[in-house]
Amino acid sequence: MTCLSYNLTFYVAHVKTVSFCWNLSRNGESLCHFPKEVMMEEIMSRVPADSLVQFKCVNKLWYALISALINGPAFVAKQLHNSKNKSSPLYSPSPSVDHRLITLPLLTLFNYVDDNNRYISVKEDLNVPHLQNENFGANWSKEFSQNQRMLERMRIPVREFGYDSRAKDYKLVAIWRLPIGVAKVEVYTLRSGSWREINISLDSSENIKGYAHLDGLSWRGVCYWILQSFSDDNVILCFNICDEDFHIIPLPNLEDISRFICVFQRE
Amino acid sequence: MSSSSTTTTTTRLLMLKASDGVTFEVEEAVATKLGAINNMVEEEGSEDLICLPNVNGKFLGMVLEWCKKHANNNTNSDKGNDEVNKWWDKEFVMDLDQNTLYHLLMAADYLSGTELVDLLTEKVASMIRGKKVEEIRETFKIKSDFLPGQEEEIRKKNSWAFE
Repeated sequence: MTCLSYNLTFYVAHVKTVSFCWNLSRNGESLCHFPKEVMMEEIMSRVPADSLVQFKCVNKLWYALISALINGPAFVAKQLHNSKNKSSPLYSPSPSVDHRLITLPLLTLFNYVDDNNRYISVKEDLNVPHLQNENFGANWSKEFSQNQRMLERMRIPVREFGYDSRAKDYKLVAIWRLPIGVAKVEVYTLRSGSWREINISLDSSENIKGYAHLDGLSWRGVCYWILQSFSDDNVILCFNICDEDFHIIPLPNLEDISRFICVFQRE
Repeated sequence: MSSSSTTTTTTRLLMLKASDGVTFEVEEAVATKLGAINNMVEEEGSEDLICLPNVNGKFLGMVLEWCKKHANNNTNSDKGNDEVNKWWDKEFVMDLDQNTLYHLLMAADYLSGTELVDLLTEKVASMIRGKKVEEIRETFKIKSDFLPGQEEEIRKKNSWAFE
């Protein structure tokens, strides 16, 4: 595993420093000549996100090229623009394309429980910080450091990830519910590479606190969570990635019905 | 059309010389579809003979064929023109082999034919879009140079894309 990371890091560095090789296959004459780097960027920006990510498996050079491209905000913005623009005479969308990827371009961020029963974040395409990072929410951790159990719970904030099409940047939003009955929200932007706290209204704070479990999704620049309450009506909490503000959508009371949030895709 | 002198003063003819010495005589309005040529022509006292040492005659000919079609079609202010151009573009790129496509793209880029570059990059993209990794390797004769296990690891980490 370490070997792989080392090699691939090397290749990414290689692509960035040395002018891109003009022939991606590099063996023989009758082969495809793939154009220079600038044009590769142009070509790859016309390929859907899932294909791009698959193509990282072609060989090391493709891996390095695509990895470098999809970490660049300018490329992502262009890819997003192209995937929405269907006026091109040659465009024929493949039926297998998952349109979710248009709004979640090039995103790999998921969590799973490892052997030690810890939550870990898997990152591949984008340099998103591990959520287990010690510095994450460190200021508040200090405040409640006497309460170990609370601290452990706080290490797993509610978070969602999305693309800000206005700023052309990815954002990770983390909601922390603090034991004193308030919620705090931090936003991480890929470009700045740092976290900052954002102000939230008292209303939103009221709505967030006290819920045991939040399940969310991110869709077209908005993150949604169902807030499940034991007593009151349920609501959907929305977070606008561009404006960085919260809204509430009321839900009817659906007792005893398990609920989840999803996107219904119409062709 | 009534006076031949008018025609000769408005239609300037340019000579484009390719790397292999092949020359093309084209109307200014056609050649200036290419940004690079346009810049040269706009310079004061520019000559009518333009040497293009980076483009082979075969591909320069094809680029100019494209320019000619688009320059002609654009003179008619017809609504259906856009459609005609699109249809013609589709025909133009339909049967290009990889080698021709590559050299044509290089030529179009060198000559700053933005629209043509767009058309050709879209063609290349259409050749790889929606293909499987194995098909890409097959199409472009690429060999995987990953160490054992590396490809599986990448697939595992990006499993969402392979679903």
